Amino acid sequence: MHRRFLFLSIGFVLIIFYAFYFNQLKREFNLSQKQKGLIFIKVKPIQTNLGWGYEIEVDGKPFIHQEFIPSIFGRRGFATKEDAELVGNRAVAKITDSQMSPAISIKDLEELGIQLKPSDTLQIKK
Amino acid sequence: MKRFHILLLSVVSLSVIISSCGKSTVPGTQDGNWYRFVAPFQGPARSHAASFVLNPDGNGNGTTAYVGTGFSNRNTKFNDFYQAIPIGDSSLTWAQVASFGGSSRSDAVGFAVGGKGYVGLGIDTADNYLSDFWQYDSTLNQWTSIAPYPGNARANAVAFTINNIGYVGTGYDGYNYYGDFWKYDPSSNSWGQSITFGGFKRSGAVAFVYNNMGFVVTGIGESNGVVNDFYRFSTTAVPADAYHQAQLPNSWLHLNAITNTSTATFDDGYTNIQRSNAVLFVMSGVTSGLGSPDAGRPKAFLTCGTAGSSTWEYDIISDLWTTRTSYESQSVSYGVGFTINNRGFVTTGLSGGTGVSATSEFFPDQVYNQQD
Repeated sequence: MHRRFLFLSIGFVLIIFYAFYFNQLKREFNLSQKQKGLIFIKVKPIQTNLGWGYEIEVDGKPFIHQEFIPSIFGRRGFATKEDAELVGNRAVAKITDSQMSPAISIKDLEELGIQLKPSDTLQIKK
Repeated sequence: MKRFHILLLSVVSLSVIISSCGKSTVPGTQDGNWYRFVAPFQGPARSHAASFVLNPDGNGNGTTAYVGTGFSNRNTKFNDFYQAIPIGDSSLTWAQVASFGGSSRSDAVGFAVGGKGYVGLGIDTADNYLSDFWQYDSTLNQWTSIAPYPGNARANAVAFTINNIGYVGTGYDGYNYYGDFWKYDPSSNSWGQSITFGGFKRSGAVAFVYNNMGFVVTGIGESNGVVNDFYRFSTTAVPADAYHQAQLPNSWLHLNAITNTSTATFDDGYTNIQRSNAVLFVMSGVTSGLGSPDAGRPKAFLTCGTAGSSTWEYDIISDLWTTRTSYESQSVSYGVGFTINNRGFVTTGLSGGTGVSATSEFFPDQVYNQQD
């Protein structure tokens, strides 16, 4: 009985040790990636009732959830998945180009061939 | 022997629970914890931005924050705007919304009424002080020009909302400090003069709302010095309580000064609450200090600004301040603080002459953890 308990204890301790060791390794890896300035970025198109948008994850954490065309007036999604991907990739390119800001301007949208309407930049007076 | 094994298992299990959390805690008092790795502000790094929180309750706590305008260290002024929605335990997601309808500017002010945001005043790229105001409709993702601010054009004003009316006042126009307040009624798209601020004229103050009362504190005054007075505005009569005198309707009530001015001991430690261009956010039901009489009360948290990274907690009920864990990222001035879903965040600001995009969240109930 005592022996079985002893084995169980040793096994448990080993599992704990590896869990702890893995956790430490993970922390050190994350730290080294940060120190190297490396970031992992993922962009994926999303479909909502507004049309197409995109999501960007940085280091596995959600950063941008863009359901509608950025910068313009109105809540209008991209017409196609490809348009959403194109603009999402422009945002990612800005991050990776050390500009650090994935902000999208009207000029970016025009450069990428996104169809805009006159009302997209309309200003309204009450 | 069996007892030894049980003891061994207990010790090991405990150490596993601690290590598997991924957050090693350091010994210390429960002074709160700043989490520095919240998704950074999505737009170009900046300072002097404006913000508002949509769907605020009577305590200034809402569901979505909006941050925009401001300027970069290259003196570029912005008109872009971003929304922040909290997700998970310690993060936000950002989305870029319609660019601000008015001209690019810094030092504007924002507030929210009835599900819509309002941004106005500030300084444009030609250094003109502005008086225009714009309404943001999140459903339409659209900005609309509204009636201009009737007071003198200015920057670094403060704003708060009481009972669906926005109050905007204080500020600076390059020559004059202001103490006047004007109230905006969205139902009539009109401004009316409100009661002039009870304290010193000032710029770069912070304001918050609790229980439909507006609070204004800190800032820089006419003598170019940081001010130490603190006032509360109420549209209705407020009876006296253990900590406050009775307040008349539509009046400013003088609260405890934020320096050691009394002969009592409560303010002996008030060494560096005074500051300008700080950030502030409010959280309800903070459970820190359990066992102390202030447990579970609403608190306002003041940090950054000209006084550096020190963080102070204001107990709204007892009108008393206590120190908290200092802001852990680079201390900023002209940053933005907001509360969404009862969570307090700080983003953007000026640090070492450079605009930043770092975003932090404060956990008042957690033990300080220097690794996050």
